[in-house]
Amino acid sequence: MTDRRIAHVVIVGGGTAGWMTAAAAGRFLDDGQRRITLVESDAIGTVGVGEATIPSILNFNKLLGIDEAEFLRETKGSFKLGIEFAGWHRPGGSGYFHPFGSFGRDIEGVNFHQLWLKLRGEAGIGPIGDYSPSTVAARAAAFGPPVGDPRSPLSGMAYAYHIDATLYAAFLRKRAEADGVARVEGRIVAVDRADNGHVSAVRLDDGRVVAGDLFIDCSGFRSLLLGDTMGVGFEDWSHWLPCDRAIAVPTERTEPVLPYTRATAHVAGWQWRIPLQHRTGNGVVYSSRFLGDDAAEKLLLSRLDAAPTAAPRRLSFTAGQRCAMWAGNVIAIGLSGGFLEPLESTSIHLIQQGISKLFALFPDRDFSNVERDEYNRQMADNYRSIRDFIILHYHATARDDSPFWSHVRTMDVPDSLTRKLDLFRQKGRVFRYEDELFAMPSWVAVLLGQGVDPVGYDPVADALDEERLGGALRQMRSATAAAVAGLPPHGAVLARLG
Amino acid sequence: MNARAGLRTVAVVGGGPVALVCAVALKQALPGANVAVVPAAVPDDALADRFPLALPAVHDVLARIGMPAELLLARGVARPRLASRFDDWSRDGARWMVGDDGAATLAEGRLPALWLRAQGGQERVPPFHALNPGCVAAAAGIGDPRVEPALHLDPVRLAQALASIARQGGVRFVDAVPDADLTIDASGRRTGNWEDWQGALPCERVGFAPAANDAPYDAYRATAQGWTAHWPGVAVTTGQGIAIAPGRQSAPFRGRTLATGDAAVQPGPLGRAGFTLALGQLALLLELMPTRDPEPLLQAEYNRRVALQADRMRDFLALHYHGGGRTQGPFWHRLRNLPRPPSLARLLAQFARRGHIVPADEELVHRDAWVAVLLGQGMVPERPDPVALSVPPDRAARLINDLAARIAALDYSA
Repeated sequence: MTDRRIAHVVIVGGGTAGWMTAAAAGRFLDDGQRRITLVESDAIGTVGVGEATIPSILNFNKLLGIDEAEFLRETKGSFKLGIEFAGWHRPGGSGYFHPFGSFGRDIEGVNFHQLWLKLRGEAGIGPIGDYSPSTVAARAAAFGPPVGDPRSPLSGMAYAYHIDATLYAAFLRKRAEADGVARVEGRIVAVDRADNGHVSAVRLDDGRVVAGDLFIDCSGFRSLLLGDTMGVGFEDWSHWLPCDRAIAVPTERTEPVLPYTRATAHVAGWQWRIPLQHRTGNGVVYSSRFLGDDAAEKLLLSRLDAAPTAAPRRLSFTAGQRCAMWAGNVIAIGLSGGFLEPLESTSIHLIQQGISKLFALFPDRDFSNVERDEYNRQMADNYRSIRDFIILHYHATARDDSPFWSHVRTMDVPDSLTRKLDLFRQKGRVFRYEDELFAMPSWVAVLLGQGVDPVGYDPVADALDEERLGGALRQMRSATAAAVAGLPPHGAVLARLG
Repeated sequence: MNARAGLRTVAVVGGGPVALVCAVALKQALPGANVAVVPAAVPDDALADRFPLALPAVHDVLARIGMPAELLLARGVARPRLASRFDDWSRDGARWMVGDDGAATLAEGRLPALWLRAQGGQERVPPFHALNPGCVAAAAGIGDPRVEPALHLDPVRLAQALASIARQGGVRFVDAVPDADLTIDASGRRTGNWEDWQGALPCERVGFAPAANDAPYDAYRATAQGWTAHWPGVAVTTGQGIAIAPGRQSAPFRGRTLATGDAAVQPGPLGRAGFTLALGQLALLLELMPTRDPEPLLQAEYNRRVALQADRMRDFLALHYHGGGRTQGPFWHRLRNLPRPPSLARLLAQFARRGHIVPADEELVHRDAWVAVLLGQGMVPERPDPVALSVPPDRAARLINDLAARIAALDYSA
């Protein structure tokens, strides 16, 4: 029997996606014979995608054996407990917080948010955020990891990181190269293809040829191999997600360093604020149909809370995904496969998904459809469910103060989202779907925050003794406040990392 | 005032454990509601009522109504079922077992992948079920407190216990079906539109005869005409006896009527999954508690999730027929040409390639059981697991043998 194993994996592009893939491949795909090569050009910049992350990055770091303190030192990172959304429901109105982790505790099998919906008007119950330890800690700019004891309110915490994406790529590069990944510097000028249409090699500007069995396209928006070479089309979602431009600018660090991302809505999109150890990342995301580039830049600069430390950088993109992430022997990971705006910090997560699913479905040189189809199905589901969650932020709004908001408020949305909205509005129910990234607490936080107010609640909550229930909720609320009050300031936790 | 007013009256039709467990759970969830049971004769093919078995995934539903597994075992209402054993049911005829609880784990990688890897080593490797503590304990005829068993429930004692809890809780027993906000059809009788599962679960007739058997496992044996089985106290033979038509109702919750148990899903006799499905449906009903007035959206969501749950169970059971095990005999020959649901075809194709089970929502069966059924029948994935490749076969064989030895000596960490 001839050996049909993939002998040489070539990764094209060295941004966040490329080096995450390389670091994981160096650790998990090395069978003693297989070579892994990453081709990147120092002349081509990276988008530096994903300065904010979600808790799933902890799994990736754990799999790669990355020490948290070292990781945060090297990436000048900070902790992240969630995202503050300001101005999404009403212009300038008070915002809401989408925390990591959970709200309160379920009682007698009834979901916590149903209990809260029943009692929310009563004295001492307060906003639902008071039951989320991550929300309460974020307000106090405090931080602590979740505790294992399920009786502690802090067991409901969860966290992720803010990181400098350029430093992150450099950090992963060191690890990947130490694990035997070869780095080739050079600009790709041509792509060779075999008779069956598969990519056989890439040619560099100095004449070198890098041949391989499997090509991972991490070339960013350009989608050099999957889009240009393999000709895989793009499914455009801009009718649901009209933002197509971003401008990014760093500013000086401010005190205290907040343990959360801020997303502030504006007249034709939104602005991000991501606190790091050495600076704050800022940027504006907008729709060019509704706002000019210069006006957007002016808007961004007028809303900074510290002095810029570099010139603004402009980016343009289209929301959507490639019709297939894997064609022939080419797999796109990262922006080459699709783009969703960073509103819920999902870019790095989607890269992780691409990597873990590829390893689980790793092909051999026969490239059977069994793996390819399953990979494409799973990745398309991933992108679509995140897409719906992001559309929710725009569509469920009371804003009517600009043509942009009137458009997104009244546009048709995917049926999958309509069903979720209806069920929540009428019943306070949250749909469950297979393998969905954002779980019930996330949907509850954003739906309530966006002003989607259920007309009733679970009738089982009516069967519980109202007085005892009220007592239990008040106790949960004060226990959460007390537990969080014992946490150190976020800045102090970062300072201890050294 | 809740805009979603709760149910005032619930009528539960049925004479077996499925009806009683629904009545008790609804009365406890809605103490203010008037819950009435309308007893009805249990039909011959209502296997959920006649041969109730609760897989570990639904024990919390029983615990919620005051019947935790430990109590049921201590009171003699339940006996532990640790595994199922299959003879003459694989490619090479070798016996295999499936545990109701998970297999052991190894830090070096996925256990099935390491076990497959070990086949290439010099050392002989024990069968896959030797790595499942529940199977090992079952074969030795002993219990192991670290293993969570399935509950083999005595239908008479279970019904008595439930009826007593029901009466104490204020459930009424009436003769005629009253007008109610919600009527639960737990009669085991089939009504409405059904999806036919004959292709996936070929079984048209099954006979039951009393037999002495008190092993802590169910024993199955494939025959040329189908299969036979020994469950506690009963011998089962397919191809004769009562008529069975596996399938499920397409929309069990409609208007003011909700069908459950065998009235909603008939999974056939293999694996006796009916009562587990009924409890899974009850958990969904409690989670999506309906209100006084029918809510089509909520009913659609209930029906969607019940269908996922039932179809997933169908696929698990269908692996026993379509998993490429036994091929001799007219019954097994015929299987090759039977239509397979697309989800089952995908599962088999994915496993055949790399030994992975396609995950799904609403899962009632332990993940390790899926793998055990396929490996047991002799299905060998074409491709080795990429992570296991980093473990040399001889080392894998040693790891597997050491683990099997530790499990046999009851010296492993759960």
